[in-house]
Amino acid sequence: MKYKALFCFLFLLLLSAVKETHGNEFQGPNDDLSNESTLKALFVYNFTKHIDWSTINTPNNKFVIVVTGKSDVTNSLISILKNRKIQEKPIEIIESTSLEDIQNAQILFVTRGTSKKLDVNVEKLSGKGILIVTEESRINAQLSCINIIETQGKLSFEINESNIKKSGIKISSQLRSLARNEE
Amino acid sequence: MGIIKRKLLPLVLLLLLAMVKPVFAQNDPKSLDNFDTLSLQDLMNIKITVASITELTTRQSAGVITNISSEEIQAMGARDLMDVLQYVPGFQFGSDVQGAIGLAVRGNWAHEGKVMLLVDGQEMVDGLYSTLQFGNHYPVSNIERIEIIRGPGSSIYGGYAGYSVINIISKNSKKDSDIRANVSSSITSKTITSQTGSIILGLNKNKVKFSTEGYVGKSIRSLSRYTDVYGSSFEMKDNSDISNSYINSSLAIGKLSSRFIYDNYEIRSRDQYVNTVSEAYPVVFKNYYGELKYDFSIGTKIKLTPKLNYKYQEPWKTVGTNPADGITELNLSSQRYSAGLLLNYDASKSINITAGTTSFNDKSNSPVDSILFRSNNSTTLEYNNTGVFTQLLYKNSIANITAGAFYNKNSLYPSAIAPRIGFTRERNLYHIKLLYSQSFRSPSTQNIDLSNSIKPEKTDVYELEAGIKIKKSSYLTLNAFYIHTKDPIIFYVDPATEFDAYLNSSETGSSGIEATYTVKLNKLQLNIGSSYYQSHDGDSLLNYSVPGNNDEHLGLSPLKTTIAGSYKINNHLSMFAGFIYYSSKVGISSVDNISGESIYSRFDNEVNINVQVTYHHFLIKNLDLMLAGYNITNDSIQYIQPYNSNHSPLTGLGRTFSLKLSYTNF
Repeated sequence: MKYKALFCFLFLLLLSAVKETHGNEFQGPNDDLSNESTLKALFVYNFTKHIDWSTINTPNNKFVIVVTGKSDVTNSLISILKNRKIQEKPIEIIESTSLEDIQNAQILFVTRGTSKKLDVNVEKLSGKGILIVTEESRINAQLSCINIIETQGKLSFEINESNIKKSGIKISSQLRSLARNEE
Repeated sequence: MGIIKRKLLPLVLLLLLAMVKPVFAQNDPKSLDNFDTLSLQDLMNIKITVASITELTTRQSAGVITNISSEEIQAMGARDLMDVLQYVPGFQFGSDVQGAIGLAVRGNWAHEGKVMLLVDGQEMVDGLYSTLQFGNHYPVSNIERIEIIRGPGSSIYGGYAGYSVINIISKNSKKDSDIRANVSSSITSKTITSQTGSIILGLNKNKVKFSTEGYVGKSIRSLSRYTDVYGSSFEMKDNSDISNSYINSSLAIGKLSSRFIYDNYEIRSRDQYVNTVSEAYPVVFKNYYGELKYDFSIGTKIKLTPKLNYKYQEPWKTVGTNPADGITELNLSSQRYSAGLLLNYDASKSINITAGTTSFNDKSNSPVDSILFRSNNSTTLEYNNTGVFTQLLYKNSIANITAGAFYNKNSLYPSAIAPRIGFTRERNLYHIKLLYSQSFRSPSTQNIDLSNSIKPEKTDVYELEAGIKIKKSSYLTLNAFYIHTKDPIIFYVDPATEFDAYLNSSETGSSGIEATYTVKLNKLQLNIGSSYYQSHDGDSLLNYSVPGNNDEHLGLSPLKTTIAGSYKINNHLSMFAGFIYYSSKVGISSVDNISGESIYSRFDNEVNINVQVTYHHFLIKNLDLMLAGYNITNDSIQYIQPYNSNHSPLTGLGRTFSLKLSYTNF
């Protein structure tokens, strides 16, 4: 009689496992919080909570994040933002350096070392509500709205107020207060 | 009605577990599952790990590995390390003498210096007899994770790691200052069975990191009636008290770090070696551990860590003298001074070299002139030992190759070398491991002193593991092992004189298979493990053998299956259910009154079911309330002596309920 109860126990446990296995998949090797690309993706996601795009007329119904070049950050963004929305819009994440894609983006993530090679006239992006995030050791005065930097094994960020202003987006005072250097 | 309730309780709990609708995961700041709750400020405090060539995943490591996280320990309601290790495939417990419980691994009694337990790098094994004691011992509330090698680790960790390595890593403070506190109490229908309390204080400011943990606990081994092999019996309720006081403190300033551990463990028992005695006598294990080390970095590729360690122990200290009971006060101590140097060198992107050396001096003392070490007729017994190891890791597209060796030079025994080689291949959907390792253990002080001519033992272990990813979140692993120990150092008690002694038997070992299945999802975590062994002791009738049965060892179940599942219902509620099944086993139950020969009996299968419900943020934020039930079917859990020295089985606790409060300020 005792073993009947045990078999039921086993069965129900497995049942709940199967149910859950079909329901949701999330874990993976890059889902480690201390992984640099994961952490950067989370920074980007958190930035969106402090930025207002409402004054910008976006041409499509998606929230587009463009990542320049091959980067682990793309995979981390896809993994983290799967089935989520930003600013009430479904999210599209693409790797591209074409002006056409970039012009439709709300966030342009410029991967390390590609900012100088980026063949885009930044002036053409002014006023289009594009948050340009870089990951250089020093902020790129022409390009960066926000630069994510690593110091002593931790990530922080800098804000370039003039580029923010040019882009047409608005950022919260809380974001400013957390930034490392405010220009 | 009581029976119905007993049977229905786990079912009702599991039904609830299976039926509840998934809701948002609980607020665990360390888990990516809950990244929505992480603010930018939180993210800015997270340290990035830089992938090193030596940082291998469980699937890549050249070993059969079980990792247990603090969340899993918390969820399962573990009261001590023994509760945690019950869920590890191949691990089971047996009774020694004087009320002590020891560990067996893969069907082999590992209590005699064949398992290495490290707490924050400190070797817990006692310096006289090389044993470890379990049951209300080694608190778990401040453990960050436990890394277990379910096979040998001697090529790095030395002789005591012949069958397994249990590596405990404590939590560090993650913010400027923190405080954590736990209190718990367990009861049965008859009495309070345990009371524990711990407090952990931490500081992490600038380059200074400080942490200290204090723990006190009292418990009862059993409420059953113990009957020795001659038929004398007593109630264990008032005769099997266990107490433990424990302090673990660390201070690090920059790259210089120090640690101090104090561990005082006491068992009171009337079951001594074979006969019971008139009253419960305390057996005390007093331990002090200290370490000082410095982490040098030379460029980005070389790390050098010199370290100094000190260990002082008074293990198996018998308090009180009573000639009528044959009890004589015994207070031997051992101390070890050791110095070591560890080198880690990333020679290229695909080659890493780890090397190290440790030299130690072991000195054992008898405090009174009347008790002399037999081997040298003196109040002190001393020897020196130097170990040197090196390990090469070569990563390539076909397989990772790990090769190394441990060279041991002991002042009392000839030098020896123990090699190791491992091939591991990991792909997205599967992994394969092929491993061979040898270990070599020199006898410890009492091994030497309680024998005529003890010699070192040598173990060879072959392992093959394959794992397959069934879905992104679930993984199945299978392994086979073959263990062979030549000249095993075996403890036994002479039934006629009740004198304890050591001998080298000819050979012992086991072969078997283990399987684990793991599911890790946002809200559900499930671990299923099963292990099977078959003994092989050659032609000799060993102290570990079951007469007329060459397939199993005394006191150790050939088949073990565990299931542990935890489910987060919502932000406030999570549940755990676990069961542990042991197949029947053989032990000595009595002796023949006329011939004096041991009588062996087969003991029934055992099923141990444990459940826990945790209410997070109970009354106030960060206060957790845990209600747990252990052995809820009230099965008879038997700890059988896994060698033939006529100690009757110790019965574990029956159904017990526990209430625990845990507070943490982050």
